[in-house]
Amino acid sequence: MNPDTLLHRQISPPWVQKNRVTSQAFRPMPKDKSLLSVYDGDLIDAEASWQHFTVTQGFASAGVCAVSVAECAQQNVPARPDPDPDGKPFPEHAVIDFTGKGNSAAEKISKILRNKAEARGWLYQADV
Amino acid sequence: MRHLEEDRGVIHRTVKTLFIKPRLSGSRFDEHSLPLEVLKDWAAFEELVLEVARSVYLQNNPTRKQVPRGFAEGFSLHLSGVEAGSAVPVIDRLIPDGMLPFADDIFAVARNLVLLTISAVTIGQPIPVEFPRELLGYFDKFGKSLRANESVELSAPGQAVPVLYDKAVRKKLVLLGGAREYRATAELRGWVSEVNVEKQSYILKLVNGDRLPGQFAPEIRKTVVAALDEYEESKVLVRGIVIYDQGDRPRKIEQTAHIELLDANDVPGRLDELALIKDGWLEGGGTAPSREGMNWLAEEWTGSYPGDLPNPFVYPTPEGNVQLEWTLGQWEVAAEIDFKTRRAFLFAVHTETEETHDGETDLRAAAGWESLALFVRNHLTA
Repeated sequence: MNPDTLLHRQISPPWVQKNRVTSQAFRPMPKDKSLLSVYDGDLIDAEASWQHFTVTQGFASAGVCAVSVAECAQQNVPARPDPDPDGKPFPEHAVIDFTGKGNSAAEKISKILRNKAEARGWLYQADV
Repeated sequence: MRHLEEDRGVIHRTVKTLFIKPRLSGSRFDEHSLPLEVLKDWAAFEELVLEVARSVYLQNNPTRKQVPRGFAEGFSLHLSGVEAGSAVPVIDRLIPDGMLPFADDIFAVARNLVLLTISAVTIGQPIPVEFPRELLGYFDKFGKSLRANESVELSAPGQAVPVLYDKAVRKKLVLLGGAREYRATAELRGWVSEVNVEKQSYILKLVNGDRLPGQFAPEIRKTVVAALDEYEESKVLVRGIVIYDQGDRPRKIEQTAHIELLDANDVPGRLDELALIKDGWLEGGGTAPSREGMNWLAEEWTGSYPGDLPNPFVYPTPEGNVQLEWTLGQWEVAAEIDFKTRRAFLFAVHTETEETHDGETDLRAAAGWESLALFVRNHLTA
C-alpha cells in the first residue's frame, strides 16, 4: 500500500441516485467502530472486489468508487491493511481509520472524500 | 323559504328546504371553501338519492312498474352556500310549487336510508335490507374526490349524531355491491413508458414496476409525448381518476385530468422509490425508512420548500431516516432528517477551503422550513 493506492469502496444501491453517491458511503457507521471497510486496490481490482462483495459475501453493491491513501491521509484518517477482520482471513481487506473523529469532523471528511471519489468516477458499475 | 322565478313571463314558485349540511374535513377545506372538483361528488349524491327514492317508491307500490311522471323533476339539489367548520356546504332542495303534494317525503326517506347504509358499514353491520344492493355501485361516484386524510360527516336536518364517510367506508360500500374494483381521484408518480397517439393512450410505469394503462385527451398530448422522451430520467405527476383493485393497488388510469413533467430530483417521487427499501438493505443491517415519516416529508416538502431552490438528492440512512444532499458549486450541503423528532441537522462544507457551517432546525414549524431554505440559499449564492 502506497500513497497512490486506490481504496475500493462498495456502494449500496439505495445510496446512488442518478449516478450520484451519498457522502454517507465515505464514513463509518456506528457498527463499524470508526473503521471504514475498503478493498486494497493494489491487491484486487474494482470488478473483482465487487464480485467478492456480492457473490462471496452476499451483499448488494451498485458498483465501486475509490479514494486514494494520500487523500485519506490529507484528512487525517489513515488507511491501513486489515487482512484478518473478525479473525477471518481476507487479505485484500483494508480500513480507513476515523478513530477520534467526532460526528461533525466525520461528516466533513466524508463529504470531501465523496467529492474526490466522484471526480475519479465509477471504477466499476454493476449492470442494472 | 318561498321564491319567485320569472321565466319567459311565466311566474314559477319554488320552495327551498334544507336537505343536508355535510361537514367536510381535511386540509383542502381549511379555507371554508370547496374545491370545484368536490362539487361532482355532490352531483353524484343527488343521483344516488334519486335512484334510492325511485327504488323505495317501487318497493312501497308493488303494483306499479314505474314511478309517476315528473318523479325525477321533483327532486333538485342546490348548493346554497358554504359555512365554516372546516367547510360545510349547505345543500337545499328546490321544489317547484306544483310538486308539493307529490310525495315530498320519499326523497327524505331515501336520504335517510343512504345515511343508514353508510352508518352500517362504518360500524361493521349488515346494510339495511331496504337498500337496493344494485345501487351500491353509485358509491363509486359519490366521494370519488375524497383523499386519504379527508372525511365527510353527514347528518339529516335534526339528526344529532352524524355519519362518517371517508375513503375506506366508500371502498367497502362499492365492493359490497360485488364490484372487484373501485375508483378514486389520485395523484401518481412514474415514467411514461409508451404512448399511442392514435388511440390517445399511454402506459405509466410506477417505481415498483407496475404498468398502468391510461387515456389522455388531445389537449395534453404534447406533455404526454414530451414525458416519453424523459423516460427513466424525469418522472411525471398524473392526476385523475384511477381504478384500484380490492387490495388498493392501482390498475388503470381511467381519466387523466392533468399530467406534469417533474424535476429530475423531484423529492416525493424519490421518496416513492425509497418506500420499496426493506430492512437489512445495508450489508444485512440498515432499517427501512419509516413509511409514516416519508409520507409526512412528501406532503410538507411540496408545501414548504421554495420552488426556486434546487431539489436535493435523497438517500436513506441506516437508522431509518433520510439525508438530503445538494452539491452547490464547491459547497457540499446536507440535511439529515430525523423522522421521530422531525428535526433536521444541517451541515455544509466547502470542498476547497474546508470551511464548514452547521445548524439544526425543527420542521414541525413553518419557521423551521424557512431556516432550511435559508441554509441552502446561503450556500447557493456564497
